[in-house]
Amino acid sequence: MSRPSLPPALPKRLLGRLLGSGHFADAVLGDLSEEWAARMARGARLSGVWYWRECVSIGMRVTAARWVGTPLGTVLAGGAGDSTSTARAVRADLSRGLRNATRHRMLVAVSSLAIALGAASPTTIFSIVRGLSRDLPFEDGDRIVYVTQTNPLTRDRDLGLTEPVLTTLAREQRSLEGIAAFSVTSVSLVEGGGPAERFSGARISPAAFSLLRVKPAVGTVFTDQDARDGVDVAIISDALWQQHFGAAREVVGRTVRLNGRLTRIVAVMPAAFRFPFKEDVWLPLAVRPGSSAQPVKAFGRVRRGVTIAQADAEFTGIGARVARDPSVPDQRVVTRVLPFKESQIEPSDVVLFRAMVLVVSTVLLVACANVANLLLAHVAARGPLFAVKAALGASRGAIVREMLAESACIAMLGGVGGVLLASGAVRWFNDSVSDALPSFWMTISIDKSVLAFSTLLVAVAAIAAGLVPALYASRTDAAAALRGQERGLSSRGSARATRTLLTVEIAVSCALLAIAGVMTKGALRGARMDLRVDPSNIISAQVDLDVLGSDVARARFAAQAAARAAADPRLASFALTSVLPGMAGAPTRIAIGGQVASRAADPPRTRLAIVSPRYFDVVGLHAARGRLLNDGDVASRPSVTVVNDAFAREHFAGRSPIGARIQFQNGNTGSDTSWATIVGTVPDLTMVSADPSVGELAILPFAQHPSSSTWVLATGPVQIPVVATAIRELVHGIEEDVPVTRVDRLAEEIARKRRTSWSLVYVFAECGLAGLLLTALGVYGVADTTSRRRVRELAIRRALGSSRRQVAGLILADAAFPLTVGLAVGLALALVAGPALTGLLFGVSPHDPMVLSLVVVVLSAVMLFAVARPAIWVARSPLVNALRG
Amino acid sequence: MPPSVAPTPLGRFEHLVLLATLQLGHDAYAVPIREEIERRTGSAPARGALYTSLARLEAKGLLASSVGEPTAVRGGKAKRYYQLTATGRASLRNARMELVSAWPGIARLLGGSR
Repeated sequence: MSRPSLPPALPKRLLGRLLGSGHFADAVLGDLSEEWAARMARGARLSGVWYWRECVSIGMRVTAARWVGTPLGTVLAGGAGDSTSTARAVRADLSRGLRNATRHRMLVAVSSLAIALGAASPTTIFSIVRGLSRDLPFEDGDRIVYVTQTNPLTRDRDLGLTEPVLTTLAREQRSLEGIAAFSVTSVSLVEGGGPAERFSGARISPAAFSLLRVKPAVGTVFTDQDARDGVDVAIISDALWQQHFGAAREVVGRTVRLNGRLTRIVAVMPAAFRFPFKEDVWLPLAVRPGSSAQPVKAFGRVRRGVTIAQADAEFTGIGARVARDPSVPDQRVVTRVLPFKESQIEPSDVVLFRAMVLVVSTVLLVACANVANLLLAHVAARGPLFAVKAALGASRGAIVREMLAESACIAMLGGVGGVLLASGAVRWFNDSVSDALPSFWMTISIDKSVLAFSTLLVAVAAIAAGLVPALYASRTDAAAALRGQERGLSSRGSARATRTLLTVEIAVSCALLAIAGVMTKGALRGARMDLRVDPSNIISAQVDLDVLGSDVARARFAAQAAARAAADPRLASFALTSVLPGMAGAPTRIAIGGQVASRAADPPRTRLAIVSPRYFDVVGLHAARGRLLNDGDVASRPSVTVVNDAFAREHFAGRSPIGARIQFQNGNTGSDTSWATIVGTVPDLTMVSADPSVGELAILPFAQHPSSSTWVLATGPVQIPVVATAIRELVHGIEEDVPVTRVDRLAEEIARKRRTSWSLVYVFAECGLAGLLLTALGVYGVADTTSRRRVRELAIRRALGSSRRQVAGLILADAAFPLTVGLAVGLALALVAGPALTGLLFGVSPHDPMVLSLVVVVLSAVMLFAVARPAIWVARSPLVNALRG
Repeated sequence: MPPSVAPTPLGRFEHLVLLATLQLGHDAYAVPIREEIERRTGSAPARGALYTSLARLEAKGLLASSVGEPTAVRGGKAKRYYQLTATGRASLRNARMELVSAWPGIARLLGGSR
């Protein structure tokens, strides 16, 4: 050995801090150093591990000794001396509980694992709910409000504000510190000769930054003057600055091409600022009186001393006055002020999520019932011990406290395990959905309030699992307990408690399984897909035509692209579509010529797809009736559309819809677009959406409705990368500012979209599986214990002449009551709770008979299996053995 | 002299700690005390348990301690030497007397050669 090595510094420092200063600490640390040196001298291995272990062990013992408040004199007393007697008693109980717990390691391991599984589900869901309903991360973020107009009749909840309304509101309102407008847009960035890249951005009033109380990290934000003069300036996000400009401070003042215009960057925002949703670029917005009627979004900050409800009332009043003006196109709209976070998540969704927390919390309930049963059996076995304690003068309260302390220790261990499991689940959830979260402030993590929630769960679990066994333990009749093994704890009473718990457990898990079952079935149905062609041969790419500025330019782009693709030998087919095959666009309200909407509040709706004529070839759709869209359907020709069979069924009841006219209503101001004539129908194509209530689809020609955000679909006779290059070259050959992003196989793109939209469903389905596991184990464990308790009785019955069949019948009869009552209550619960889930089930009925019967079969099978084992044992084993116990 | 398992005013472990301390004389600090207990009983106690017991025995007045000189091999930390107080000796004597008077005639009934 060259030189004496030193013990690891970290454990030494930690233990030193724990022990404090003084002779005692010196002695302990010195002893450890001495033994370390001795180990090194004899070449012992793993001395680092040894040192860590010793430090942890000594630290724990000393802490425990201080905590219990054992009189240890001045050396160890670390603040325990002045604690009240109650606190000391609680500590003593807990430490006794801990000691009991360490004595029954198997029981503790199984129980705390059950609690961990049970606590993980609600903790995960709670952290998701909490992440989605967070306040904005600004000074007094809860005072930032969203201002919009809604139409209660048509259920349009976010119409935005038109210029006259916004101007009037800004002039007359008193409850906000100010109003700022924004509109989200996509931005194409060309810089240094590279290809165009697409970013999400917002045009935003310069006042927004001071309203949010945010200052840029570098540079200064644009001003009202800039906005009024239409100067081309931009602010970029920290992420864009880091990734695209190498975090160079000189970026401020640099000129880049944004949306085809030379634009000067004036500032970089601080990290994590992506307001309003997930933006990377901000451009100035000026809402001038008399400017175009395109509505904008708006937000403000509520003044101190004013509530959001008061602001809402004021704005509704002003809005109603504005609406009386005859120039306003739709007088039914209502002006609303609501918390900004609710602009992205509907309050009803939050309520639904909270309901989910409750549902998955029942998993914990099942776990608690399991643990309670285990503890009950444990108490029964320890009956004489409690009897002796009671005889020696332990009060009922003391025995109850000791048992509760034991279950508290189990629950604490389980809680820690549950939080660990949940943090794994949250990490997984974040990995798969963070792109899909609509807003930057929604971060899903296990934070303080989640931990507080879990602590509460654990406390509830400790009491739920420990109280019944504790009460039974304390009711022990000393004389009786000492007379015979199990009679001490009134065994009929404890058997009744066990049976009740078993019934509750079956009921809860039956309800839980039914709900998880329909959700899983829904998720599976959503995963099915009947494209008529193989999506792995199709390349998809997103192109953003916003930069082209006008519908005419976009239509011209589509025509040029089709012509070039036809001439390109690398591309076999090429089409544009607003919605990927297999996905569903948002439902749009329609009016149908010759039909009067039966209820104004519930107008007919359909999903839309805007495609170029070759789309039908690419996805393999043929006309069922009439014709498909073709190259002749251009802007100068009459408007046409093709609908799917579901549309024809829903609105024409089997009659041919061809020749009928429909009108698509744009939600903003109730203004109507022109009528389109139905020229053909196509078979239904899968449209994946959790909400299947709208299965109707209308397909419109791109040339007549050029949308700015669109997908390219292409196939080619050659390898994928060549097709991808061909798409890029084709698009940039027409217009170099058009960004081409997400070039990939269609199959990959669809899989990615699905992952994000279904993660939540998967989370619930997995919670259900955790519940099934716990339930199966619990039911098995309890039924097994109960039957074993009867082994001796059954053996006597056998000895007195009962047949094997009669004995088996007795065991089954014993199981029948909890099973039937539990299943009945559980199914009733599922039937009551089910309808709340309709929107998440991909069209599966919440009362799906297949799922419900499967649940009944599974639970019955588990129960029968559990009771069958001891029955067979009694039937087979020699009677003497059974009678001996 | 086998260690007692019957209840005495001293706990079993306290009993062992006092015996080892007495045996070691002027060289009784935690490291050799632990080794002495291991040598006598075949298993070494957890260090944390030993330190808390030493502190408890000192608080009860059965042990007294003094601080030695710091040495390099101990990282510059001093040893803490323990010795039995008069009360400690009396307690140990008392514990022994109780056992000695309780045992006669019992070993035969127990059987085996313990």
